[in-house]
Amino acid sequence: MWHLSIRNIWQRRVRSLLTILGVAVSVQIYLAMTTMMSSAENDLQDQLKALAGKVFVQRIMTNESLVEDFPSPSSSIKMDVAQELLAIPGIDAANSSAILYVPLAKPPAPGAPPPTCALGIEPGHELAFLGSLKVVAGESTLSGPQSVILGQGAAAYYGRETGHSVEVGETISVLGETFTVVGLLDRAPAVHDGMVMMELATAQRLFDRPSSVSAVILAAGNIDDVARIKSQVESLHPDLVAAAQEDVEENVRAIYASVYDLADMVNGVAVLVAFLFVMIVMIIAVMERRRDIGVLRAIGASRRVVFNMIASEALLLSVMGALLAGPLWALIRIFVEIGTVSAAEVILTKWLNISLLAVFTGLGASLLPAWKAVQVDPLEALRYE
Amino acid sequence: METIVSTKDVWKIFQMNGVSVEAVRGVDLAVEAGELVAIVGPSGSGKSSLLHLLGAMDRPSKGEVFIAGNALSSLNDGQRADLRLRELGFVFQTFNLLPTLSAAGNVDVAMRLAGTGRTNRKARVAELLERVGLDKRANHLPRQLSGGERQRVAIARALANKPALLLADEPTGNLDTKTGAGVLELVRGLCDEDGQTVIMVTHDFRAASYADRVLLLRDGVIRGETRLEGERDTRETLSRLLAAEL
Repeated sequence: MWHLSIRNIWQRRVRSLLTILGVAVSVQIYLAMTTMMSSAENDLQDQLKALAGKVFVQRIMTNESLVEDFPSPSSSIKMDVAQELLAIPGIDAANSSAILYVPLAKPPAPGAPPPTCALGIEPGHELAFLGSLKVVAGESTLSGPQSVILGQGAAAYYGRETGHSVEVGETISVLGETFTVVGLLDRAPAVHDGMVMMELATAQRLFDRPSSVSAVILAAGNIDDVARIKSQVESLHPDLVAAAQEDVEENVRAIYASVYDLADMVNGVAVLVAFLFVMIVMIIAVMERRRDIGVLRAIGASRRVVFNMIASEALLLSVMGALLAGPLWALIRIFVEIGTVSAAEVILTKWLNISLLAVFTGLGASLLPAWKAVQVDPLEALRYE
Repeated sequence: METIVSTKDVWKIFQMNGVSVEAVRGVDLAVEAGELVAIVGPSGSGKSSLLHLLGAMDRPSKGEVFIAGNALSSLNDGQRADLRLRELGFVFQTFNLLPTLSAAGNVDVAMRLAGTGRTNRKARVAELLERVGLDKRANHLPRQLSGGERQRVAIARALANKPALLLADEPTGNLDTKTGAGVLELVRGLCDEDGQTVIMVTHDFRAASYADRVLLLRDGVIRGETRLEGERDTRETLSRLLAAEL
């Protein structure tokens, strides 16, 4: 009896449209949350990939975490200790470096990274910190003591007075010294985004820390040596904390867990809202059409037919809502950037999954109204016509 | 003659606020194929209750109803729905057309329920709408039709699956005299030309005068029966029935 369901939807166009829109909005919320989480997961994966085969060493204050606060501005390791660590056998020297990290502006909120920071690194070892981050303009290596590589956030920060981001070839001033921008990074997570990467010696002179660094990044020549290098660092200097990719991932996962839980909860609420929306509309529809259902039963429609008619109507409303959500989402994505996940990725994967979810939501929401419909006694319905 | 519907000591007792109300009390009747039987009686006489029992929409408290050879007490809900679909046609006082479907759609829906193929349905819809004189109004929604036209669509719908028995509950109750007469002529024609069996309940003796046989129901009991044998004299019918009751 699909034709009756379609007729009923068409005859009550305004209500049907509002219901479809309600479902579409719920799907939008679901898509937005899913996209944000996908984006966060992608960032996380990128960061974890960059950490593969590396050991991160710094001194941790009691209220700090190696993961959340790497590199930590309060960490200090003597230069000779850093040199000792960099000389551990099995280290890939080209991808290892001591770094000096100094915030250049106040964070916008407690716990947040500063909008810009200086990152001193040994020349030729830039990839130790950049990992797989792409350079969108210029070079990924420093070309002298007064050259810098900027993250997008730092470029925007230093260009805030002129109204446009600083570009390669332009100069910036840090603590009164002029630096030439030789490279510009792609959009990146927090610390990298606000980074002003410069030579370590320059940073040590500029910030008056000639014989200390903030942290040491040790890349293993062979990935199987990571655990050995980590334990060697800990045995040589028990006052330092060393972390490998697994430790970082474990910590990051723990931090993200509550965010994922929140996203799941919002998604659950979105599904529940769509469920209730469809169910309420269908219950009202059944109450309004008691007589029509009574007529159908009187002329020979079985309970199964009546059940299917209501279920298919709810299903159609849900599926149309989900289908409408796709183009709506694509439209929203034109104006709003959510994370780094592409619209196409969302449309092709999430949308199909969510449409499937909408089918089950619609069917689930139809159960009570359909059950109420099959309970309609034709005699009762027609008697009070 | 083949008996299409019969009852054997049928009772219908309702419980209302703890009080038993005997709407139908021990009715025995038999209707032959091609007959048009009118059940007349005042309001509250049990006409509609009896019609609902004959239409497999209600179960008797006692006794048995047989339709086209089926004892209704032996049928479950699904089988009774199937019986209503294939063997019975209903015409209601307030037409009860589905408002979202056109005249053709209302006739078509009964055949869809019965699983009739598209081609056969289309031909049958056209045939029935022509039979009731509405072939030019096939695509009109019920709200675009007059009362008489709606009742004709209801009759066409009732006939869609070629039922053994057509049940009409006050079919002219919501129509003016002239329109009502047109509908009754149509019903009479179905019996005369197509051999359709019809049971009609009414409180209108003028409507009853179109029947082959008139049963007078009062207080749930058949008080009298008159065979009209083609005559159409309302006053004569009335006087015979009153005499039978007395």
